[in-house]
Amino acid sequence: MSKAERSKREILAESPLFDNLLPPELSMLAELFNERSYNAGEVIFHEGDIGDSMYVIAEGELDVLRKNPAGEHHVIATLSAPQFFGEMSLIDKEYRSASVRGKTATTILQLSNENLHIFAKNYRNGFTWVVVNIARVLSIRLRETNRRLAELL
Amino acid sequence: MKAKWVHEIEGLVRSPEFGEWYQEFIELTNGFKKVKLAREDLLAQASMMHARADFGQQCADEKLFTAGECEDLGSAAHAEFAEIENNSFEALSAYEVQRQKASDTWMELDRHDASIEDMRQEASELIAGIEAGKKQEDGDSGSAALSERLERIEAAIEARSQEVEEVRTRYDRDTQRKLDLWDEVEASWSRAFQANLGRSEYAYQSRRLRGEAEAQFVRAAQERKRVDELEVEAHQLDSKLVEYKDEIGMHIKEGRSRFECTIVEEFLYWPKQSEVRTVLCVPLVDDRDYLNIQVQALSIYQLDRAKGLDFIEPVAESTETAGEDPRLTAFFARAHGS
Repeated sequence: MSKAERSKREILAESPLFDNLLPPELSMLAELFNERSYNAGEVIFHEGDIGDSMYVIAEGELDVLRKNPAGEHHVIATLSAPQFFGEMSLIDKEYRSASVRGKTATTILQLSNENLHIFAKNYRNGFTWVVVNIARVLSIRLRETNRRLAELL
Repeated sequence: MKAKWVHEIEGLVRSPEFGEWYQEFIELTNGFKKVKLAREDLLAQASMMHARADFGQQCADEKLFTAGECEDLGSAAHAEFAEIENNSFEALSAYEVQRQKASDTWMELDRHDASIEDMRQEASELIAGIEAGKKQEDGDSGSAALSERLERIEAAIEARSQEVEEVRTRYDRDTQRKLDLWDEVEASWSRAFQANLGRSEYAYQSRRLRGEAEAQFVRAAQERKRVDELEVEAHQLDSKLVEYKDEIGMHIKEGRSRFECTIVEEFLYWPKQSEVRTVLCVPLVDDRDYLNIQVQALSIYQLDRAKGLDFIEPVAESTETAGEDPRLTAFFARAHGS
């Protein structure tokens, strides 16, 4: 089914970030996510930008790029629907650790920090659950990193 | 204005009365937008036509200037042609003189050759006479006279031969001069040929450019006339726009009164029952780009009275349950391994 035929709510329901949310919570989140379209090659954000949003991919593919010491960009990962990115900025409000650029024409859903605040005000438990889900994702990544580090050592 | 509950607004938005009002609002605003677009289109056309007329006139001016330059070039070519033609007559006359001179020299050379030939003939006869006298051995005195005559004739032949060489050299010089003069005549004719054709071609270019410039002036005048017509048509739509604005204003006023709300232009607002600082609102238009969330017409949103549309929120559906959220209970139960 293409993105045009799926609602924002259906797309979000596929993401592990929103596991366990109640239907009204998911509906409000769907209203708080803004849909944005990008062409292939268009940059969603640059490494070093101040992060204030997270994104869920609705359609298409995106490249994640990092600069090496010589200043050249290298693709370190390619993301596609229903993957997400930028979620760390909702927790630590730090600068973006990588750039993200459309590999194909892409549609993404964007949740800004201020719109997440609306969700938190209205659905405290739902917000807690979103934070738990983000923590789970980060925990999985950390475990994976530790495992790789252990292999190297 | 009475404060409202969310369910009251939901009921209102679903009511046929609101539906009819909204339908009319959409028709009026669409009509207004259509006329506004048509007016902008006419003004854009007028603006482009105006620029086109200006540019056309500028091109026509430039063509007229170029036509003048072509006429100057044609006149110069004509003057050059006349001068070259006059010079060519002089060159031709000089050639004719030289040709006659070379011809005279040729005839002189011919005469000298003929006389040398006669003298050689006479010398041959004398030699034969001397030879015959020697055989008879009796004419010493006669033979001596012949020998003396032969010597004179041979001296004369020698002298004439030198003259012939001089005349031949002169003839060669005269002939070369004649050929040079002919080359000059031909070069003059060639330049005159080109100058004459240049005169006529520049005259043709000038005529053509003037014709094109005149046509462009006419077109520019027509375009200016069309600009005036388009501006008149656009101004006629001004009054239509004013009518639409008045009708929309009246319609909004009626909406305020019928639905007991505040309407600025594109959103309906009510104070929220039991929350003094909160306002419920219903957009009459969709927006995907200029608010913090993407709003849909006729959906219900809420906002802070002080912030207004600077920060708009979806209306939350209640999920309150008595006691602790069972999801969290389950999560912590898993975490404690129970």
